[in-house]
Amino acid sequence: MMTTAGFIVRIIFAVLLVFGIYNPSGYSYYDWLVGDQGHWTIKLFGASVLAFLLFIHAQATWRSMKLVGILLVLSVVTSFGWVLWDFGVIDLSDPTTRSLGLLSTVAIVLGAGQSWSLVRYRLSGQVDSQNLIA
Amino acid sequence: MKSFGYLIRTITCFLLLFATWNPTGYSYAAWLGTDDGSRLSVKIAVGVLLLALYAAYLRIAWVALRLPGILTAVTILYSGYLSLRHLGLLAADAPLWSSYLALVLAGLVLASGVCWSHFKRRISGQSHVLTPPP
Repeated sequence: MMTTAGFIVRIIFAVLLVFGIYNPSGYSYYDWLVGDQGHWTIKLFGASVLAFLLFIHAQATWRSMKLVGILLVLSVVTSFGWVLWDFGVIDLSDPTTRSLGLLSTVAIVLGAGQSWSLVRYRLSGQVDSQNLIA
Repeated sequence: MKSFGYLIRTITCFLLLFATWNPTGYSYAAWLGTDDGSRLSVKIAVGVLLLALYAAYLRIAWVALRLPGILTAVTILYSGYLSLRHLGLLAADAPLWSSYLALVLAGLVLASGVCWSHFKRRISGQSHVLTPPP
């Protein structure tokens, strides 16, 4: 059963995943990968784990929301960002803010997609299922 | 399903593989080759039991993972093994280790296949269904 804490944990995990892969601070998997430090075996292990996690999130998002749901989440996040910009909370002319906003948007889409089947089940009782033997 | 359930499933997968064959000489394969006075019917009966267990476990794991899932699991586990070897936590050249490595890798892939549908349902709420039941 989906709880508020479960939803928040899924969003936080997606944020950690996306920002772990890349963020503008210079401390991310991408920066480690292109840098000289570290051995290729550990980099390969990190790459395979991150690719697996990202694929799981993308697949769950696509299966639960499809294109329409993704576009709806994107438009909600975008309009919310517009409100923040309109009131002067964020400065979109700053490239760091832009990339942080873009990464947060991707993370929120993935986290919401990971949660949506469970939210839908709790809300309506409709189970999302995948037939393994076609 | 809670964490303990994953642990139990992983342990049963390891038991199944290590009971079939392991390098210590105490296994079903080693027992088949020795003449210790036990009747042929007992050996055949145990063999059929193992075969039935393999059919169930392999079918479950195959249906849940298919080839892409198995390749993903092997990639993650093998690059993790390379990383551990690079870090010096595992000895690379011990001849006994290589056969244990194959057993542990196969056991973990089998366990991830058996647990995958539970895991996916718990994380993203998307159930795997079999229609018609096999």
